[in-house]
Amino acid sequence: MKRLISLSIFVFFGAVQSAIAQAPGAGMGMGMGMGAGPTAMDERFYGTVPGIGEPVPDVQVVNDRGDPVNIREVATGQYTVLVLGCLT
Amino acid sequence: MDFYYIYKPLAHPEYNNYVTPFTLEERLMHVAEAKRRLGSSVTWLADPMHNPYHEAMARTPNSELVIGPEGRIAARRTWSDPEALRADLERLIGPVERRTRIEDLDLPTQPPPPTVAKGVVPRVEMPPTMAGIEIEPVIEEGAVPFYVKLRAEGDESLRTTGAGKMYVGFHLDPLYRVHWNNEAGPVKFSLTAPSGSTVTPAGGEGPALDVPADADPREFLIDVAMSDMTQPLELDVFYFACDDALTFCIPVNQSYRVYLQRDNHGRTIRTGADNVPTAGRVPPS
Repeated sequence: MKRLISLSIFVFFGAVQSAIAQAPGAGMGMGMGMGAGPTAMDERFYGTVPGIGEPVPDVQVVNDRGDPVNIREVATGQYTVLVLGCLT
Repeated sequence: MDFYYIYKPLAHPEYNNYVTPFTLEERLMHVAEAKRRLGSSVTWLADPMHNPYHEAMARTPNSELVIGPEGRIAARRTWSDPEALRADLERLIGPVERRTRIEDLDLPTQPPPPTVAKGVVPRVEMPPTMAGIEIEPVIEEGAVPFYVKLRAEGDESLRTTGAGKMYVGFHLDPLYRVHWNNEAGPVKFSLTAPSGSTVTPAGGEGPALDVPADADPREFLIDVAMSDMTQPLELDVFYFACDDALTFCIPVNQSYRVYLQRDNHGRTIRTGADNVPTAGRVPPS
């Protein structure tokens, strides 16, 4: 049951991006730039971001009320997906 | 299993009229706007204004990490990809009995905020090699918000030698639901250069218009010759902030420091239905 719930959340998560692209006046930019072959951005990303098996960066962000949230603490104890996004 | 979006600097300011926030409170307004537009229940976090998470992700606009229960990276990619993510999760956690389809979800997506007339004031023709340069709004405690926000750009010569073309654009922030009230008077600005440097012209004002209100940016091109690139230009701006609900129309004076260094989080302007790069702008570094 827990897995089904988790999957629903996951599908919703993926759907968010589709919804953005389909919204009137749409396009939050998410997904723009995807293409075949590595790009300079790929090289920068894979050269900077910790590799598979390494700890997630120890970075402080905030929640939607502005309260501090530690990424490493948030992402420990269960599988966690983190996606960067913005309005454009 | 937990999912988070992390809000970062705008990838393409001006798209759908959104402009770069100046404060964390304004970035959280963007988060609220993203929730409104998406109808999303996914939890949003936000990068602080010095963008530590965005930096840690190599300033990518839409990267994705899967983290294991022990806090270690299990998958990573430059661009979020729902199908690849699904494959990751099936590999890491196992397949599911029933896939929920996107169309099974009722996402009440909403359009961007409406604006008053646009296309009234012609856009400036940008010189080549323009890119965003760093600005520092002078934020005074208890003062009104920056209803109108400055974007500054410089050509390659300006950014590398201190002498060249600078763009200053005053953009309404759509999250404040304001417009230019052309009956109240145009935006006016002045630039002050450090000793030994020149700016031409050293100020300007928006056009006088027959239409009572519009939402177009007020844009200017300036010739700059700086003797010391580490020093900022001082910019003072005056405008009337008038909200669309017609509850206030107030005079506002605000100031900025403008630096000639490239703004690595300023990103590239894209406009139009196809969201294509605007002429004159160079790609982000």
